[in-house]
Amino acid sequence: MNAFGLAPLLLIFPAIGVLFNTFAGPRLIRAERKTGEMYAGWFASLMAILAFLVAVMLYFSLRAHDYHAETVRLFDWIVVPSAGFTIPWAIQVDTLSVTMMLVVTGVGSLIHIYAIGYMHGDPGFHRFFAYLNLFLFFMLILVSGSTYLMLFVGWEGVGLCSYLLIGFWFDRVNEQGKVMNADAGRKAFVVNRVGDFAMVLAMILLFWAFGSLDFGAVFGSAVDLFAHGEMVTLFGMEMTVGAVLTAVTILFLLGAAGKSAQIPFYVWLPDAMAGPTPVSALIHAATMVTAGVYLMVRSNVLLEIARQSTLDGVAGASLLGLSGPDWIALTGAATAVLAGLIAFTQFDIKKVLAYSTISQLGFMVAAAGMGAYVAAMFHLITHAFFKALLFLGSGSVIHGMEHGHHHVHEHDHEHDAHHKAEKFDPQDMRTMGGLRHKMPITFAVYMVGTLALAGIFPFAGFWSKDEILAHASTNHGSIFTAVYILLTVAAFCTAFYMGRQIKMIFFGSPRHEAAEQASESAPIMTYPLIILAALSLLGGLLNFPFFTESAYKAAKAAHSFGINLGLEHWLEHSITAFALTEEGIVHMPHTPTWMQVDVALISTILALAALALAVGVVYRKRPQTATERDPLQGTPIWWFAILPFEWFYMHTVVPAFKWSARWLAEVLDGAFWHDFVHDNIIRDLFVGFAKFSANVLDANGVDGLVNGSGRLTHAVGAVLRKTQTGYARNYALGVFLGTVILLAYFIFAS
Amino acid sequence: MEFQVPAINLALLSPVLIVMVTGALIMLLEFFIPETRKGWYTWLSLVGIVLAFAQTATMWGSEAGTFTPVGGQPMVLLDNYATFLNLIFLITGALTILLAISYLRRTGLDRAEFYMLLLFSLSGMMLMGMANDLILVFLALEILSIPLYIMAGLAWPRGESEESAMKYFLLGAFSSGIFVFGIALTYGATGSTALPQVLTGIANGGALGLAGAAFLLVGLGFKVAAAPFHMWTPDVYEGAPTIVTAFMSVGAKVGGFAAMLRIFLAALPEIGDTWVTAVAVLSALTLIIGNVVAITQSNIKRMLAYSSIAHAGYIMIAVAASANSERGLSAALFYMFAYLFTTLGAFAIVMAREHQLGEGLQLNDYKGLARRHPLLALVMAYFMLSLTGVPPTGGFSGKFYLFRAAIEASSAGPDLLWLVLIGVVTSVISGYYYLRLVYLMYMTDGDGTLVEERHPAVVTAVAVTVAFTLLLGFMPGTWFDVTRQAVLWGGRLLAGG
Amino acid sequence: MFSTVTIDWYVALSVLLFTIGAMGVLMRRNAIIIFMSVEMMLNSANLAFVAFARHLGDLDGQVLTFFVITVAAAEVAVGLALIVTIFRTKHSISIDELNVLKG
Repeated sequence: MNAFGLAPLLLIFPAIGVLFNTFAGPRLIRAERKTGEMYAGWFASLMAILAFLVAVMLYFSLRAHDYHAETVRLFDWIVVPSAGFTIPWAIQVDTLSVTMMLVVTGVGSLIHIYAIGYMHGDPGFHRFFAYLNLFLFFMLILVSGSTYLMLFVGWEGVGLCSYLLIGFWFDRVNEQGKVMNADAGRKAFVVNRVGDFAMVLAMILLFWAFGSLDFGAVFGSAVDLFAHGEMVTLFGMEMTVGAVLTAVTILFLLGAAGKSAQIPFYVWLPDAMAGPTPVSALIHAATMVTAGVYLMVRSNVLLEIARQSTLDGVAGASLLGLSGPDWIALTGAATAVLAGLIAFTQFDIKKVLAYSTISQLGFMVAAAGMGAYVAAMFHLITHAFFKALLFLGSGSVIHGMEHGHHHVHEHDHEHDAHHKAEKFDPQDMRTMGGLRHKMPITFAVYMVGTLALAGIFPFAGFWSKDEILAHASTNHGSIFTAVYILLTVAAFCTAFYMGRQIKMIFFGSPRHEAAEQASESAPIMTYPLIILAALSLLGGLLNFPFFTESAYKAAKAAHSFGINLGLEHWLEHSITAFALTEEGIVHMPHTPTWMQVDVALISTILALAALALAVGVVYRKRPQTATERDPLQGTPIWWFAILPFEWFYMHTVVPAFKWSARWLAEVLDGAFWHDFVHDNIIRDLFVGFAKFSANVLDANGVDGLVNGSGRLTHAVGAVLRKTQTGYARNYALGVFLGTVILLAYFIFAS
Repeated sequence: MEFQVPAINLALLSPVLIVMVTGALIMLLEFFIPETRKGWYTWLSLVGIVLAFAQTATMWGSEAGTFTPVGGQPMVLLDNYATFLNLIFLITGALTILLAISYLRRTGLDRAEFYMLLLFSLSGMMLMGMANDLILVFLALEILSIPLYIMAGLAWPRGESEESAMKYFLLGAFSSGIFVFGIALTYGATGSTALPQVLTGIANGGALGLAGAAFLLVGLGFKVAAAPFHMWTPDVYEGAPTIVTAFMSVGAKVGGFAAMLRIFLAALPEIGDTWVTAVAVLSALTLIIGNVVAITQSNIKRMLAYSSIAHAGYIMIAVAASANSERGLSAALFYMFAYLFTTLGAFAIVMAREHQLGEGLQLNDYKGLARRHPLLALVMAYFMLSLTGVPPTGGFSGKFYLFRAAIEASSAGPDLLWLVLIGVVTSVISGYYYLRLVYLMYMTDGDGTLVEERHPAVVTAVAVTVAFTLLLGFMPGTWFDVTRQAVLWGGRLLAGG
Repeated sequence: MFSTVTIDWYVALSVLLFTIGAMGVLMRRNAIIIFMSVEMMLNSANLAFVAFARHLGDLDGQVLTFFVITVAAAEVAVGLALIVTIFRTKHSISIDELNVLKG
């Protein structure tokens, strides 16, 4: 069987969905709300399911084809005949891309179906599904492209969809009258632009060094040049392949840090929770944010050459003594710990999960940086299952709370005025409690997700997280040791904040009327949850390890691995670095193929201890009321977790900058300049600068960067604008002065 | 002294003549056509333009010169370069007329002189690309400009329109004075006004020739609105009726570049690094001023005026690159081609928002437009993305070719990488004000609407602009090949092609 | 006596006229005087054309003068029409009164 020809359908189905909901959706819903919603929602879901079926067929085709990658060329995109240069639009079907397709369309389909229930009654129902299908379209371009350029098109496209969906309720205004959701979308967009700029630079470097952006061509030529020790010429300079690829990997790291929310760009993801919950589950947990990990795994050859170049001491192939992949691994591990700590301090149910996502992405990025590509993909897949589950579960909880809130209102007419004045946040965990009796299905699946995320045997997260930890612990080197310690701490944090969360949501007694009146969500929402829960329970089977070394060796001798290491044997056809290692061109770190019992024991014990600590000790009796302080509040841990944002920046960098700006402004004012210059240049610019620094560095993070740099440019523009006086004589003067300067230049320069 | 008649081949000028004659015809017919039959002017001028277009299209691939004095250079050249530019101008003219029909009627400006002046100005633009002699460049420049001065004041007695016309006229006359003086000086230094001779002569013509060259650059820099000769642009664009602004922001600018590029083309390969550096510095200044000041604007026409200044800066990157890159000229032509559709398309939406003359032109008037007019808001957003240079749009492809040419040129001549860097950074800045409009349309609430009446001509024009912006975004290679053809002469690339 | 007046003198005079014209544009407020200044700039070019033509023994420069004069006439026609129109609404021909559009 060969279904490669069907590959274009993968993109066509979601595209049809977009068109359908854009053009027919509004009419359907206007005509008859209820059936219209059914048509719009199910049509979009059907398109996602069809795309999933195409992916499944591609999976079987690959198996039948002995796992040989296939490129399906659709059309030529950029053709420059004079330079003999063509960039085709082609779909690469290999084991890695099919894995991603399956995850994206599979989890995507479930979330589409769930969203039919979740978005019920929303005025933008059809728009939501159009965006969701558009997202699928771009995400599939991202994972199926056969060139970096196509990957980048998808990369930008999903960024756009993320922007549109975060700001989906763009007209919602908070108490201060700010359009919070629209602002959050803008923040995500702008932060990602910085990372995307790095991506563009990386592509330019690759193109100049290797003359192509095609995956196969770039990897092939990089390996060739590296194996023969040849140099490439960039900007008129001879450079080693190692130096170029170190730069490329660092730029990839920056790009991935934007999209996959790593230090220093992670700030956008928590705000992105302003979007509807299915969006948080699909885009900001399961799929889009993993694009950075996919990029790393896809570029495994480049990463391994960069690593090997640093080991060989190739000129220019390191940054501060560390290789590109080392930076990736350390960044990922540091992000995992930092985000895990910050999650302690959150009260918003979705923000906890958002920081958890950042932390888990840190695990994947660290794994990719350590050369554990299969482990990174394994964790990507299991994380997609259980984090989608948790997000959708939290959506169900929010839905239930809102329902409860309405219920209270309807039966409480005499207190109407009182209730209207009171602000109610259905996402605040402090107002929940005791929901396990009200929402039993949600509770059960949420527990599965929690245990999977915390890494408790035998849930999916246990296997994938353990593989990363085992990789870090069995390889030698200070980087691996550091990553291992950091990730172990992060794993502990994970279990703790999840323990805290389930305790606050489901246990104890209700702390708000809404929680007392909460009710279970509709079946259309709970069925996808149950399916995801099953996947979270069984996902470990995808790459089930051998329990002992001897079992592995016996299986290897017999050439029969059974269900063990399925993912590894599947992906090894796409991860070219394995072959290079066998040829001896690079020496990639080795992932243990049998279970490391000591590592597994340590992490399991730590996770159980953290859960017990959270549920049984710290939050055992508290909080009792919705307004009570968190037990950790005021303790050193609390301060440590929020330290990097508020305290450090607000108390060191910002005052120093403000102070020096004011000092400069005053000195310059008194000594030299008259009022015009003072008002228009010094004050505006320095106040702009001071505000810029304050805004950028404070807890609002990069939201300030937008306004701050905008304000700075705005200030410069305002000064320049004053030259446009409206007097024609002044304009003539401009022309005249320009003429004089040009004249002088022409005469004296020649 | 024996007098010899120069060789004249009027067939080469036929497209220009058709346009001119149509203009003159309208001038005459104004006395005979009754007030109630104003539509005739529209159709007549469209017929003229279509005829000229057809005539020009048949000339694609032919290379000839005419008005050749004995032993001299032809004053008029008709090569693919001129033909391509003529097509650009004729498309601009046709789209402007399509957009004008309902706008002029709505604003009470539906008068014969609009069509007449437009056609005259158009013929001047076409001559700009064909002129191979400085005096013809000067004449073309004036034929292009003088009708525009009047068109800017078409909405008299509105104060803004009069002020716009007066400022444009005053500064335009001032700059053409400088331009003529430049011609006089170069004539004195080289003894000729034929472009190839003048420009090769300047290199060894001493200070006189160089001063002349500087003056010529000022004259053209003024027309294309390069800083610091740009200051008329915002005031004139804001005050003129929007349809005139649209026409001038494309036509006058491309016209100026047609002559500027022809000068570069004729002067190559003798052109010195002095010229390149001068153009590069002007380009950098233009990019920065245009983009940075655009941020502070609250009137959309003014914002687009600064945006058009900024785009002149981008095209000048290609002009500077053309001295040392094989792809400089074609990149400039491509960029102008893309700019034509995007700009006219954006102005079409601006006009649709302008219910009455001068009303609904604030950026805030665009609030919440997406909710009431989803399709047109989408179109406008797409044009804004194209102006920013986000793929897949014509604007992106244009910038891509342009930056590539500049990078190529850097390896063979003066370093232009710094200019590319400025270009990239200012593109990012430009995103701020273009996307603010998108933000206002999509993310805020307001009660502005577009005019209800959808004239088929307007719909056609908008469809064409969208289609070409899409096409240039998705299949840039095909169109870049066309612009490559446009700089071929005798089967080989023109210098700097 | 006549032969002492070399081309340099003509060029110097023409540059002087050009500069006076340019200064007039920059400094005067009366629109009509500004036009006259622009005319002076154009005529300084004419003077240079004729002088150079004489110097080079070439007729072209003298022919060019006619083109410039024609264009100047067209410009003046348009310019005066504009001034009249503006005078009708503003009752002034000072260009500094035209100051609504700015920034």
